[in-house]
Amino acid sequence: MFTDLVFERIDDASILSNFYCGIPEMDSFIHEKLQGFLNRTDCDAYVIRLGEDIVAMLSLGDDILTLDDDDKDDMISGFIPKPNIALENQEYLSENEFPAVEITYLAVEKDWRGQGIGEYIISQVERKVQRERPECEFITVEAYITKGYSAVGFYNHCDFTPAEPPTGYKDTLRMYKVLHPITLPEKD
Amino acid sequence: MLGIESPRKPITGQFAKELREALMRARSGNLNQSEKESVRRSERVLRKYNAVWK
Repeated sequence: MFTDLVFERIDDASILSNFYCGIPEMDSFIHEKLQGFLNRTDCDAYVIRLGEDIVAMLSLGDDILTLDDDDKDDMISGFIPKPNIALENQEYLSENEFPAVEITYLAVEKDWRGQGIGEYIISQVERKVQRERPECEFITVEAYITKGYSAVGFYNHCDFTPAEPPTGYKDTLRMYKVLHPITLPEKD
Repeated sequence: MLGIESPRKPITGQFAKELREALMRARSGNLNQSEKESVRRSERVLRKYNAVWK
């Protein structure tokens, strides 16, 4: 029998007053600044409960992945080879903006870390986006990097790909994950 | 990420190429082995709990 993991929409951050993920900068944000963002209508936030315990919090937002035009122009002109995929209709060359859903915040309670809850939440977000936002082919994240902590390894483990090289001018690394079919054909 | 100013720039160069290729594999269904394993791993992960969205 499955255990229920409940994703409960919130608009009051006080429910997280006793929630600690163990990363000081993130705990400070959750306790002191999250409410300001919840007051904005475009912030879609949840607590994740296992029984009576809040084991994680999550927020989602809209994003757009924009590709620089240079590679597209170079492929059309033949200056660089096109991707090694034979397509009857290479319409992708005309696309350079892709709608996405962004994980704008994800924190797992410190006593529940290392048990696969974060990975499970990512998988559920993928399914939710595929159900409710079929026009989105990606989920994205700005993976947090601080002196004492980096979320990049976690998102690598969840099969996210960097969208940029590490930079020195911001505390995050933009990453994306292409949304795949829910199941593979049986022959695979 | 909420609370952190993260300037967004267009994705360029090799990163853009890899993104286009990954998207085309997803659209055509011709996933590589790593992507197929990712789908299988996601299927296993989803069996851990029953998710209820409220």
